[in-house]
This record gives sequence, structure tokens and C-alpha cells, in this order.
Amino acid sequence: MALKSGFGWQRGIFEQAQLTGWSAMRDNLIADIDSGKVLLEEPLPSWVSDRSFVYSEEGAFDPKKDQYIPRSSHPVYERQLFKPLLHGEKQHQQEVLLESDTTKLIDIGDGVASISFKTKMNVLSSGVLIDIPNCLDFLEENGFHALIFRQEKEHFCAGANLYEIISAIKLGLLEKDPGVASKAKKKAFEVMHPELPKLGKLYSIKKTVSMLQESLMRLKHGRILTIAAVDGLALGGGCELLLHCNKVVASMNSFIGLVEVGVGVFPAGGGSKEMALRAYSNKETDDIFPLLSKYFEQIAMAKFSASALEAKEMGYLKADDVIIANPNELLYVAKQQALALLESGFKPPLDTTFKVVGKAGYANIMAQVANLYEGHFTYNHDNIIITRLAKVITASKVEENTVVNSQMILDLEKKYFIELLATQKTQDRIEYMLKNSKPLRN
Amino acid sequence: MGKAYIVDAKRTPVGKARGCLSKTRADDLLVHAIQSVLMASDESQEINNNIDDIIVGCAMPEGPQGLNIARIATLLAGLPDSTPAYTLNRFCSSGLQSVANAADLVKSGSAELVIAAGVESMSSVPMTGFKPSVNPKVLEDENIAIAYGMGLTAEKVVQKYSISKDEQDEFAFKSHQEAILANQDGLFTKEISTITTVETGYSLDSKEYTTSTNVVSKDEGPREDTSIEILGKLRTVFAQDGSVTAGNSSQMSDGAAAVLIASEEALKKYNLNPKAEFLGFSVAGVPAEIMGIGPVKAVPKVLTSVGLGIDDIGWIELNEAFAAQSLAVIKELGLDVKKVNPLGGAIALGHPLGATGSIRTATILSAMKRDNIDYGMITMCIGTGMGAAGIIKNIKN
Repeated sequence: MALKSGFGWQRGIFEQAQLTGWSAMRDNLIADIDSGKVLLEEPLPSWVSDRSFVYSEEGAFDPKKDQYIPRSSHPVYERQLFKPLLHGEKQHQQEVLLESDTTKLIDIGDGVASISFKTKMNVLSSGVLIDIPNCLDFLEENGFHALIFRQEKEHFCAGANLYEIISAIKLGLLEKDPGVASKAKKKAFEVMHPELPKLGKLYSIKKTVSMLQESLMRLKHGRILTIAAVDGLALGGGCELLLHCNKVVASMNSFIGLVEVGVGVFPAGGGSKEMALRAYSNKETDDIFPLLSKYFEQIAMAKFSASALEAKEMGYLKADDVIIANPNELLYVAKQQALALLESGFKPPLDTTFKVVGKAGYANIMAQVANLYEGHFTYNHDNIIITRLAKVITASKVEENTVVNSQMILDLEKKYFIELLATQKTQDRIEYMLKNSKPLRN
Repeated sequence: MGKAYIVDAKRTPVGKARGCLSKTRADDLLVHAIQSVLMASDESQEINNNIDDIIVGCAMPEGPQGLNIARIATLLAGLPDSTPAYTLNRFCSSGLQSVANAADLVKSGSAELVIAAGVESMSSVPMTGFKPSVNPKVLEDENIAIAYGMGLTAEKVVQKYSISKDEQDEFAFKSHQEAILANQDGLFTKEISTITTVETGYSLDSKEYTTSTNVVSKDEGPREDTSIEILGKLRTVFAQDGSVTAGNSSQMSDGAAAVLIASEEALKKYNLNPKAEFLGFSVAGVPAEIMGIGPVKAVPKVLTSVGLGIDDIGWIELNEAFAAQSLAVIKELGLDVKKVNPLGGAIALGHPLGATGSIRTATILSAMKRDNIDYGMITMCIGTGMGAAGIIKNIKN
């Protein structure tokens, strides 16, 4: 545990040995010692030979005491709900409410449920997008009051499923829903590329964006109180997810940002809308622009926070969101926050109107963009992307301080997002990211 | 047309933005400059009651330097209610424009005594003002250069006139060296009016109010610790592959200056001894994207208007907005580098935008008297693509 918690190892030495096969490891070591292939000349202690595992449902083996010692029952560990287990330890007893290939919803008591994703890096696949509203329906129908997003695997959420997006584009599903031909193409593609992960249920990009926007708006304004328990990466769609939760509990090691520009698009799941709204709500004077300009720059430069504290400065966490040191306590603290909010009469926020910076703000931002471009700080395609982001986040067609609603900005997000995905350079960026795990500058 | 005489010119020291004058309000800096130039006159009380107008240049006349700072400072300076005042803005030439406007009033017979001044506290007002607002029409291709930052225009000048980074850094280093030497030799002493700043605060340790007083008598900008090597290591900030750095650009500064302009009749009436005559002033437009070359158009224009050639000019105060544009102007006009900014320029001495024209008027006046120079010229480039130039004739008593 010390190697994992204190030194960041994914597995400790004994855990890895047990996972690999204790007996096989032991036998190989003995053979190597006998044949003089290792520096060690002493035989292995007898406790190594006497057993085939060191971690069991009873606890971890202690050679001095010659017995398995259970984990400490110190009250501090009661705060670690569903703490990470070592291989071989007794599994947690979870009351699973709903489970699919992509998500698992569990009951954590007192009318609170927790959802985790099963996708790689916990990305928002089409399956996840189908499951979220189903989970909310279930919770509403069964008397639950709060939902916590808490992943069981590393990271909160690395964003959208780029593989699904690029596949949908290649199958001609930018705006049109799948027909017989595209379904056949999908099947043929899967047969030709057995090495690639199986594609989930495919929708048109337009439909997928709508699903994402609707789900996230429901998280913010729906009957169920939503809390994001964040640790590790919360990027792109993952950041949009937490932006729409009623409360965030984040570990210090949270890396949060709207980084979509790196893959040739901009936040279209309500992230751009949320930052325009936050610029209006958080402004320190009557002027929305200074804060909006800061938020715009963060998104345009694909910046993400180096810590949860920095995420607060960047506006991705709200002033009253909670930051904790020990990620193992996230679910416990999130549940306590949920219960406290419910006790104090939590009501979901209304989808209120807000003012935008409009065409005046757009002109100011584009003046900055022109300087960046002329100074060769941005590439051609960057300019195309951030121009569309500017149109959305400012609501560029209306006068300054025009009152708008969320849907107006969400519609702009969808329109320009699809427009960008239709460009070859955005598709190149997505494919490059999938192949190389780093952004392409084109 | 009559003549316009410069009776005297006084300036505050120039502080770095967020430096020694940052806690002194712009209107207080201006009051200090106005009072200093009036105090310099033997007949100050009588002059004080007969100033026909006060004209103040300021490039960002808003916030603490808004609300017609000229009139506010006039009244705060203790001048009578009968003294009118107005603020003007032509960006970096505002402080020279005020001198030109004052001279025109006097030459035309509309006024006998006018104070021309300039003020800028870049510590108080950001470079583009508190709420920049770009007209959407600026985004059209033919207008986009209006939106270019000044640093980017300097990079465009670099490209057009093939100026190397080394040339720029050498020019910047020279500016500092000359300013340091001038300071050591006390060459700014006559034009600078020492200012005492007072800052009040609160000590959390002693739980008492604190007052710190600082007497400022020298420009804060010149750096003795700089070198060609240090300047060469600074990063470019306006273009990814550029060469303009903070080190070879003018410094953001705080400061003010005032110039007393009089007609021939006023000289006689108040028994004043003029130091110089303000001969003429011209402005000219150039493309906004290379605004730095503004003097290339303005200088020939003003020389023609006063019937002089460039060789007649013995001292040139060329505002060093950027080393790049200064070098381009020197090259294009064929200026004698020995005559250009012999005491250093804005890269070392600072550039409090709207005050610079008046400040350098005070500098050139001192220099021309000291070195017995016949004609001097102050010139500068102006944001959005202009240049200004004014010519002064020494009156040798």
C-alpha cells in the first residue's frame, strides 16, 4: 500500500508477484538462485515456499507473526468508502442498482447513488451517454435524491470517445442518423479491423452532441442532486461533466480543463455555454468581458489546471466547491456534501437567462486573435477553431449585454462543432491524437 | 502670424510603471509639473493670474487621469477659476501636440500665455485603457492593422526594413549607457523638478499606520546592470519568430511635464526671457501596420514648413518606442546618429505615453542651451499609423 499511496506505483512488488502467479515466480527464483544467475546465494525464506499468495480475504501475510493481518480498523479508514483493493483482498460488497457494458450504478445508502464508467480512461462513449439519463430516470423513480460521479479506475474522465467520433465521420454520420448502408459499413469495418475496439452504438454526431448537451443540462437542472468526485484527469467532455454537476469535490491532484482545441474542436457539450454563463455570474464589475476573455484564452490555448486549487482560479471549480487531500476519501466527502445540501433544502438551479458580450466582445477577442495569428503564435487551423469558439462564447451576432438563454448558446455550440468536424484538418487532429496521444499542430 | 516663445519647461522625473511614482496620482504629477514651470518664472504671481489656457496631452485619459485632467490639475495647482484648460489625445505625440496647439494659439493672437503639458501614469491606467472596445469593422482585412498591438507593428517594421535583433539590442544598450552617463553628469538636473512622494500604509506587525516619504530626483529607467548579453537572452513576446523584446522596447512609465509658451507681447508685458522659439509642427499618416515609421513622413514635412534642412538640426529627440522603428527611421531619413538622443531615449528613460512630447521638450531645451545648439527637433511615431515632429529654435541671449 505504501508503494502505491506514497510512491505512485501502480502495484506493489508482492501484489505484482501474486498477480503474476506467486508459485511460478517463487519456483523461477529458486531455479535462478540454484543456477547462480542472481547475486543472492541464501535460499528464500520458508514462508515464501509455504504459501501460494500473500494477500487474502483475511488480510496481508506478516512473516514475523506468521499469520494474515487484516487492514487497520482505525476510524480514519471509515472515510475511505470502497477504497482501492490489493489483488487477492476481499472484494467490496456493493449493491448494484444498474450495470451495463459502460457504466455501473451503485447504492451507497441514505438515498445517494454513485455512478462509475467502465470505458478506457472513463471517456464519454455513446454507451455512457445512453446510460446517464437511464440512471437518472431510475433514481427519480426509486426515491433517490443524489448521484455522485466517482470512478473506480484512475482519472475522472478524459473526454469524449474520439474513436467513436472519427468512425462516425468516416461512416458519413456527421448530421445524418445511421441507415442500413452505414450499419453494414460499420460491421464490415469491425470484421476488417479485429484488432481495434468494437464500436459502440453509433449515432450521428449531431445526435450525439444533443444527447450530451441534454444529459449535462439535466445533471445541472434536474431533480437529482449531482456531485462530481474528481481525481486525476478531467479533460474536455470530462470537464464539461463536472461543470454541470451541482457540486464538485476534487482531490488536490485534479487536472481540469477544456482542451478540445487540441483535437480541432471546442467545447460543445455545454462547456462553452457554461463558461459564458460563469463569466456573467462571476464578474467583479458590470463588465463581463475581462473574465470572458480570460476563459476564452484558457480554452483557445487548451490550458488545464495543474491542481484543483488552480482549477478554482481558472473558473472550472466554483468558489464553494470542495478540495481535499486524500483521493480515497472522495466518495465519503461527496456523500456528506450531498447529505448536507439535501438537509439544507437543496433545490436545483433554474436555467436562468444571462447577458453576453455580443458583437463588441467578439471584436475585442478577434483583435487579440489577429495579433496571435500575425505573430505566428497560432496556425491556420487554430485560427479557424478559435474563431468559431469566439462566435459561440460571445454570441457574436447580438449587441453587447443582450439577454440570452442556455439553449441559444448550446445551438451555436452544436452548429460550429459539426462545421469543424467536417474539416479535414480537424479529422487529421483527431486521428493523430488517437495514434500518438499528443496533439497535431496543423 | 506672430511668434511663439518657450519661456521654460519643467518635468517630473520619470518613474517605471509600478515604480517610484506609481502611488502618486496622475493629476498630482501634473500639478507638480505646472507649479514647477510657473515657479521658474520671476513674475509667477502675475503670470499665474493671466494664463489664457492650459492644454494637456494624455494618451489614456480615463480613470484617475480622466474627467478633463487638465482642468482638475489647473484648479488643484492653485490657479484662479478664470484659467481654462483642456485635455487632448494624439496617443504618443499628445505631449508635443499640446505644445503645438499652445504655440498656434499664441501665433494666431488668440492667447498671450499658455501652458502646454503632458501627463501619463501607466501604473494607473492599462495600456489599452480599462475597457477596450474594438469596432467590428476593424476585423475586415483592410482595417485589421488597426487592431495590431504596438509590438507587432514593430515586428512588421523589422521585416520591412530588415533590422536584425543584434542591431536592436545594441541600440537599446547604447540608450541605457548614454542615459546613465547623462545622469552621472547631472545633465537632466535643470529640467527635472524633484518630487516628494508620500505613501501611507498600515503595519500588521506594529498595528500602526505607516508613512514613507521618498524624494525622487532622477529618472528610474536607466539600468546599470544590463548588457548586450542580457538583452540578447530576453524572449520575444510579440511574434513567435520575432526579435522585439521587452529590452529593446520603450519602458512603461509615469511622469509629467509642462511648458510655458508666450507671445512677443507677453514677453514684454511680464518681462520674460524666452529660452527658445517653437518654430513649427507637422503630423503625417502612415500605414497602421508599420506605425513606427511615422517620423519618416512627419520630419520632411515640418522641415519644409519652417524652411530648414535636416543638416540644420543639431539635436534630435527621437522617441524610442522600439529600437526597431528608431533604427528604421534613422536609416530612412539618413539621420546623423550622433545627433539622435545623445542622452539616451525612451528605452532607457521611459515613455509615459502622452507626457513624452512635453518631457522631451524640456530635455531638448536644456540641451540646446547647454550645448549652444541652434535648432532642435522632437519627433515620434504614433499608434494607428502617424508621425509627429516639432522644431525649436534656440534664442541666444
